[in-house]
Amino acid sequence: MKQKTDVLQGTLALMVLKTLDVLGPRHGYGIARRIEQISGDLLTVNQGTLYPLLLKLEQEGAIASDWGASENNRRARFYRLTREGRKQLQVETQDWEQTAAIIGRFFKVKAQDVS
Amino acid sequence: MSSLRRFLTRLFNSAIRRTNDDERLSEEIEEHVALQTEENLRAGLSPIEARRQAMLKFGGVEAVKEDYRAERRLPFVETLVQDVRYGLRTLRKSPGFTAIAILTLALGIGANTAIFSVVDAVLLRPLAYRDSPSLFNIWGKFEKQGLPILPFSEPEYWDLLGHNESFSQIAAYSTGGNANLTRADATPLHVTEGAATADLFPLLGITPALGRSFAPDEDQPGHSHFALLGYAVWQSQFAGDLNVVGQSIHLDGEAYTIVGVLPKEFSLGGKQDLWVPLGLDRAKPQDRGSHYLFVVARLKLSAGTAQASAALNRFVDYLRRTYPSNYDGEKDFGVYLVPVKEQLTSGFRPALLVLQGAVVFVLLIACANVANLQLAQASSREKELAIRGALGAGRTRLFRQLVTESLILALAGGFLGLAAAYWGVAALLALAPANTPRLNEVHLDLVVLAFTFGVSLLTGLFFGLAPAWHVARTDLQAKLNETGRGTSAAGATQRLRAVLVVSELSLAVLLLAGAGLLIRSFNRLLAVSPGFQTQHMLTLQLSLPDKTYQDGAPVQSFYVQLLTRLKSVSGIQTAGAVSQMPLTDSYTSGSVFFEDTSIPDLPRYPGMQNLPYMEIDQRAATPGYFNAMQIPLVGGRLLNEADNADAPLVAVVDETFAHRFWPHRDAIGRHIAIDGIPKIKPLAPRWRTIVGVVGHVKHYGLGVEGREQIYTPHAQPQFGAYSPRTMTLAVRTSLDPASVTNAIREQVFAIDRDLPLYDIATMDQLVSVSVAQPRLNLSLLAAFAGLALALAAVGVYGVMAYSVAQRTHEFGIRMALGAPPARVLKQVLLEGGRLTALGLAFGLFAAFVLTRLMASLLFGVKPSDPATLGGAAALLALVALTACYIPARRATRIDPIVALRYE
Repeated sequence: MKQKTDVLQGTLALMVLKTLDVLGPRHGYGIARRIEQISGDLLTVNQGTLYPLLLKLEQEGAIASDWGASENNRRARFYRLTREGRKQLQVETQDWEQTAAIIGRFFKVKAQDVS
Repeated sequence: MSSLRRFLTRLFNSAIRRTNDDERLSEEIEEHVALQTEENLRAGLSPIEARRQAMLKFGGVEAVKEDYRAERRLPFVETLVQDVRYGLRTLRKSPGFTAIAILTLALGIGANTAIFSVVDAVLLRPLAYRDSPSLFNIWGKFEKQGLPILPFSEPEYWDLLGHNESFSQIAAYSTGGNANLTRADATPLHVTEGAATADLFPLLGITPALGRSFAPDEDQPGHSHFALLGYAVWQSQFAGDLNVVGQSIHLDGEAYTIVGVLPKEFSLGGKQDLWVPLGLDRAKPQDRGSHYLFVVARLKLSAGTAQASAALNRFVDYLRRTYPSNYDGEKDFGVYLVPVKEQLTSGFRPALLVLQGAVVFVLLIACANVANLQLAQASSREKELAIRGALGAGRTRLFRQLVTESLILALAGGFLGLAAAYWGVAALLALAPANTPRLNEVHLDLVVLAFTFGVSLLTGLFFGLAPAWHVARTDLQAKLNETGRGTSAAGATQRLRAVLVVSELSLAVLLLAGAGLLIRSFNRLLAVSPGFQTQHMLTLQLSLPDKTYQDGAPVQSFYVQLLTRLKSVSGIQTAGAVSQMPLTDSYTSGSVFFEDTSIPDLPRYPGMQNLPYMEIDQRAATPGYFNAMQIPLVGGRLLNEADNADAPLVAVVDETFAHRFWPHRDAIGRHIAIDGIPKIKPLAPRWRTIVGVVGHVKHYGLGVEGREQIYTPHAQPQFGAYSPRTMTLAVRTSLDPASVTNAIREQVFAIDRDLPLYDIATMDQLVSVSVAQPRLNLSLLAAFAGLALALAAVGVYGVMAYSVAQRTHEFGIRMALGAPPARVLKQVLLEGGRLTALGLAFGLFAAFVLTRLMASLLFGVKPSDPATLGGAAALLALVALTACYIPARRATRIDPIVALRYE
């Protein structure tokens, strides 16, 4: 099994959850577009990697999926956040903010501040 | 939580194959790309370019699909499922190979499971008592007098209780009691009776199946008429009546109240139909020399066995100091402890371990055989494996595939073996001698199932690894390029197969040698003369209750009367009676005192005028006993009717006795005593004159020499006015012994309607029962050895046949060039002979080393008996060479033309 780097995988998963949280049920293409819009070039290539990730989240119970009709009235798979996924998102958002804050402080520290 | 959920989902997906999953992804991808394409079109790209860009952005579709698949299921399980499915298909394609392999394994695994279930129940599992490892039997011993294991006497028991340092509880019991059980509206029944102190059952942690065990106040002298029924009697005689507690029964005419029923699995070794309280009287204990109490004790948590042994040694010192006349100064007396489990099972340990070893060897042979089959199978699959390799299957993958197939075979074999073991265990239980301990605990339980599963897996790895490694290692490229039948690479395979066959042959020789030794032992054992005639003999026991027959004259005259009556029964030639019949597990021994103080090396007994004495087997017999048993008279005379209570006391001794004490002089006319003159203190010997010497009788079994024996007339009381109440009739018949049973019963009933006859058996049956254990060992080991021989023969045949088939081409050329068939035959036989010789050499060496472990099972044969080892080797050589001869013959019949065209 090919594995993306953990950071990318973890971040991508968090982005998916947040997207579904903000926008409500979305199909794969919609999620990809949203992430592309917000993150810039993170997902401009290899959008396909999203699908194994969606499956993983689904198998973990964080999201659920159903068939629905897309904008052009064709069948598309719509993903939505479950209650468990919402909880997971909360926890991970907190973790992420904490981590980001710590890392941020580290980057702000200058040599003279430490001595 | 969520990762567990993901794992379970993936596991579930792996197990259940859904076909629409790939479609779902394809559809999603298609839609994704379509939406992106539309987006691109809106951005002004040409339709073709729009789709191309969309595809580029999406990335590698196949890689995504692969990741997606890996995410959906567990790749490991996925491969396993694939391997299993593929393996099943392969095995189905060669049903002959599969059936033979599974059957071979089933035999091996089944035999192992069956024997292991007995080993587990008898040797491994803790006893059905609470915290059984802390339970010990305590024994006394007078080693120099030939009493290495001696129960306690009542005074010794009380002394032990008074000097207890390391045991939290001590209890005593006795076995071997008999009673006539009578109830209203039921025929009288003879029952065997155990007697226990009230604390025995709580000590063991036994909870009665019904009711309760004895209360302390029910175990008092004069207040002990209570009974605990054994489970079997409760079922058979009381029909499992739940209201049996509180009911009254009569034992030897006295009323007893039933207080409870013992659980089914309760056994103290031996079969007691019911238990009564011992009711020991501490104020008036029996004689210090009357050893009949079995002592069980539970070690204190704080005490170790070494500590307990040291405390028991201090107890011995106390006894020696306090009662010097009983425990002579020669430091002969000792007290020691044995774990209860060891006490119960140690006699069966060697046989069980030898059998378990034997079945493991059989399984190893089965493994070697299946490995050989697989190698043969693998060489015909080389092309297939090479192609799979060329298509991208890695070596580990191929290796895994082959091992998976082996495991499938092994598990199927294990499953079938379990079924075989189910019947095997039933057969074993039916064949096992009745005195084997803990047989009721033998079942195929979870432990045994786990064992079988483990053995199956190990077996699969064992026979699967070598071929798999071998195949996965070979150069697949070379295989594909090879045009003809395997020539060069086949050499390595053939070597591996030769190694396997040599191992099989060695193990088979080892098992044959073991079985041979047991067969020879058994024949030696059966050839032993027991010292009496066994044909046309019927034995029956009866026991006179003391309520209706008082000591002395009434008991004596009953037997005189009965034997006189029996003389007139048609079909009976002679009849006699003895207090302990040989081969019945019943014996008594006691001190015999000698008037002749010149006999060397005898201890002296201060309590009896410091006379020399020795522990000797003692029997009371009626005059007709020797004739009925045809125990030969060596010198002097036999007992006769004139030797009654009024006549001078006499005794007859056996040859061993006469020879040991008076090796160069006549024993007849010498005086010995087995008791003292009643009511005289200090004790004075009651002398008896030896009037005859008879042949020695193998009392304890054909293979046991046994102690010296003396016989006293039943009509001359011992120890005051006592004559044994329980006697065994020895009846010599002219017809089938069993045919006179009813006539004898009628004669007994004519004297006393309430007397049951029991333990009715022909002497041939007693002999047969006495050798049941060695016979079972022998039958099992012989069966395993036969199986081993057959498997080994198949193994040799397989290798030789394969070798000949591989070389059809070569033989063809050689014969075309003029080699005579005899030469080809010789060459093949030589090749097989070399394997056989190697197998024999290793096997004989192993036998030489390992048969020593079964020394305790042998009788009259040394473990390294050259004739037996030679015989085993010869048998194996014969079978192996016959197995080689068939393919060798085939080699000589090869038609050179056909062989050369054969490709």
